[in-house]
Amino acid sequence: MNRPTLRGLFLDALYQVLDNLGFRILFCLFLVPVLLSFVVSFRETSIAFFWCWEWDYAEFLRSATASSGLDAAARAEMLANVRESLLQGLVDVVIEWGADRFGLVFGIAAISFFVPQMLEKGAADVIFSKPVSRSSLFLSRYIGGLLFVGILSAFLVGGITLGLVTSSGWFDSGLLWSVLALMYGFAIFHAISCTIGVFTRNTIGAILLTLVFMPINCGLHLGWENLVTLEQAVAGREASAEEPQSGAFEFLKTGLTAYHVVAPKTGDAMRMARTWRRSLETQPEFQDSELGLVVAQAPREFRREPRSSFAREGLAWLAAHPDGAGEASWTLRSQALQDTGPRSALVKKQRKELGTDPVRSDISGRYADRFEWVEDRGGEKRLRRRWILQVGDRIVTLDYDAESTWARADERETAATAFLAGISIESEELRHMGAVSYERKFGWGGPWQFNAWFSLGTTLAFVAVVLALGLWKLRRIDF
Amino acid sequence: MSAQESIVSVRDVTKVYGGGLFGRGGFRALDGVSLEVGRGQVFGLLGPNGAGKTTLVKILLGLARRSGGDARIFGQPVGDPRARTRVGYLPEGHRFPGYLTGVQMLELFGQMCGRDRHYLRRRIPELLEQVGMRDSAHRKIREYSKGMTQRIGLAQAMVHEPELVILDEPTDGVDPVGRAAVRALVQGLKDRGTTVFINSHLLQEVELVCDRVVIMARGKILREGSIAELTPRSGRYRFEVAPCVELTLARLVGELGSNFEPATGGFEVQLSDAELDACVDRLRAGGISIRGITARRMNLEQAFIQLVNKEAR
Ligand SMILES: Nc1ncnc2c1ncn2[C@@H]1O[C@H](COP(=O)(O)OP(=O)(O)O)[C@@H](O)[C@H]1O
Ligand SMILES: [Mg+2]
Repeated sequence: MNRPTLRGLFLDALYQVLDNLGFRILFCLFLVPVLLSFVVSFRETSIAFFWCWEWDYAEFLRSATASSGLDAAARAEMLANVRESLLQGLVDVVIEWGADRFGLVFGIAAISFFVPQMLEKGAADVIFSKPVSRSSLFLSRYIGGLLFVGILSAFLVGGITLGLVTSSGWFDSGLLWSVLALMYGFAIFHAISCTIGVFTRNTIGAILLTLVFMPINCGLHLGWENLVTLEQAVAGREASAEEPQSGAFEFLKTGLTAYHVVAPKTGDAMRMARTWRRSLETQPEFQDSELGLVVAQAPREFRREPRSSFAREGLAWLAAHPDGAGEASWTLRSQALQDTGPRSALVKKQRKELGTDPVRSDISGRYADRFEWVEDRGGEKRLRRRWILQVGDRIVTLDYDAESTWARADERETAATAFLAGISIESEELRHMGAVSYERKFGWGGPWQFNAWFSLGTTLAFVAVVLALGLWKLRRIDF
Repeated sequence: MSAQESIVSVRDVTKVYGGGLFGRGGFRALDGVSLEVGRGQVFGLLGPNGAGKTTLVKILLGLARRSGGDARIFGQPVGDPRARTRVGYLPEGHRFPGYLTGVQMLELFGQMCGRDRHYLRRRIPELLEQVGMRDSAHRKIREYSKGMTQRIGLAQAMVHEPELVILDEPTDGVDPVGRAAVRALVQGLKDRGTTVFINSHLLQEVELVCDRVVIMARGKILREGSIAELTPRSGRYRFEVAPCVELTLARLVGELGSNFEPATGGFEVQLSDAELDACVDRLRAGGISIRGITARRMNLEQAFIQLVNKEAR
């Protein structure tokens, strides 16, 4: 094929897309968040609209939490993070909803007319009598579709990124990764829609069938992910491993597994993007996938003791006191519930020993009992704090031990708060969901079920087969 | 014509639509069709609706696959996209991309046929002038009337200056002025040496422009030849005579031949060759002066109806 022919094919696709109503609506919808990202700027202490109306975060928080009875300390802590969490939430909405869900569905709906419209009676005679092979026309439509959705999503994400950088001075690489994820998902569904278009030769039919396929595909994969999670949970309890499984269950399992292997794994797009993104970001100070626990950063001035272990005597961070009088320490530890006994008994015992009542507290939004006391150790006054909380069938304790006046300094209290705020523990409900558990194991190595290469390879093979099927059919049509 | 280069060559082509898995059953739209079109000819493929004309053209353009036989254009097998580079085509019942303007369509299709922008910048204005579409060329095609669509359709078939132009029912649904314009365009193509292949069921159109005609019906070729060959002499003569009393004429000629019909300035009558001499003798003997005698031919339509009916019987 020579240059003018390629140019002709490209221009035809371009004009057709620009003329399409769905595409225009999509563009206008995308324009809104892009423009907003330019005119709303998140400053250090306030949000500014159009560079003139300012709104203090403090004021914002006061009105948002007026009736919640938060104390001043908690509010101050929230205030420190409000800008970050607002921006992060905003970006999550754009990525998860804008790009991954609506973006994909709208993109498919807007571009599904591409192939069937070319094949409708009267139109096909005109275009297929030109000196361009049917395969070239078909593939040019497929690639053209990819190109336009690529341009559109690059516009959305690039625009928002640029807007946030210029107006708020904030950058998140996750946004850029999401374009890749969106394109990947789109490349899969667009291939399916093109091939359905060849078979139906009808625009509405192609759109509807593709849109029906999307949730079914997603649902079946999710079913498989839950199945794998369930199986592993069951295997963990040795007793039930021997139980014979019913025929229906085996049948379901085989069916779902076969489907999972063959069908395109669109959901993995976002997972791949996230693993890539994570690999580029600064790693957290510590994480434990068993508990879904992440410690974002070490406490300021402290260093992790390399020999300490989270599972055994506890993970320790140590800091030397300037006057050489001993050390300050943070210790994080996890124990099985069956070894420690129930949490309430543990708390009761502690209360009796210390003669003080615990304070309600929270870590990562979970209920925790916090004890605070002062210990006299060889004439030195030590400030002691202990948090006790339950995560599933494990008890997690966090201990703080430091020289009292040293610890009470304002900046050390603030550092302690920041350390606590950086600890996050995933909720159990979430962890036992197949998708989440699957995602935790998903990566570029490991067994095939969770291997990104396997997912990528089988998905691309599926796309190739689908396109080949469409081509095969197209070459057999008598217009 | 055998000396001429064959632009279109069709040998024993059959087409069965909707056959079963093993080609059984189905509808036989073409049944052993063979024809040749030489360079520079204006070729007419005639036949009633459903004869298979469009099917044959679609096979030539690779739009439909043949079930048997061999078809070539420019000596290349049909279905090879390269064979279509030198072909322009106006489909029957076409729908042009409504999202384009006339000019955009001509540019795009010109490019798809391998012409560069430099060439097209010169070619398109002159073409628009030729088809009389200069004024509406920048409007979207979806706003065009039927006649305008047909004109822009003719233009897209000619935009890359193809050596073969295939027109499927080019005058269908076009008003008389438009038809004359189509004829003029075909004449222009012919003058430049372009080969033209016209499908039509409108016989007068074909009669006026075609060098050679093939008549087909129900998937078979019935007759082939020049217009003169296809319209036999009917044995009917028209006499122009000096003014005289009509009764006298009837008395003189009436018992000769058949179907005597008076006409202004003379009469028409069906005569054998022997009767023709006798008729002239009688008129002269009767003192009637003869101004002219013309042998009437059947027109194409009459020949066509006769042929198709004979075949149907
Ligand atoms: N795609 C098709 N599928 C089935 N039958 C067809 C198809 N196209 C044409 N035919 C049939 O083939 C016959 C010839 O059609 P066509 O070539 O369009 O005739 P014409 O152009 O001479 O009017 C008709 O009887 C028509 O019904
Ligand atoms: Mg026809």
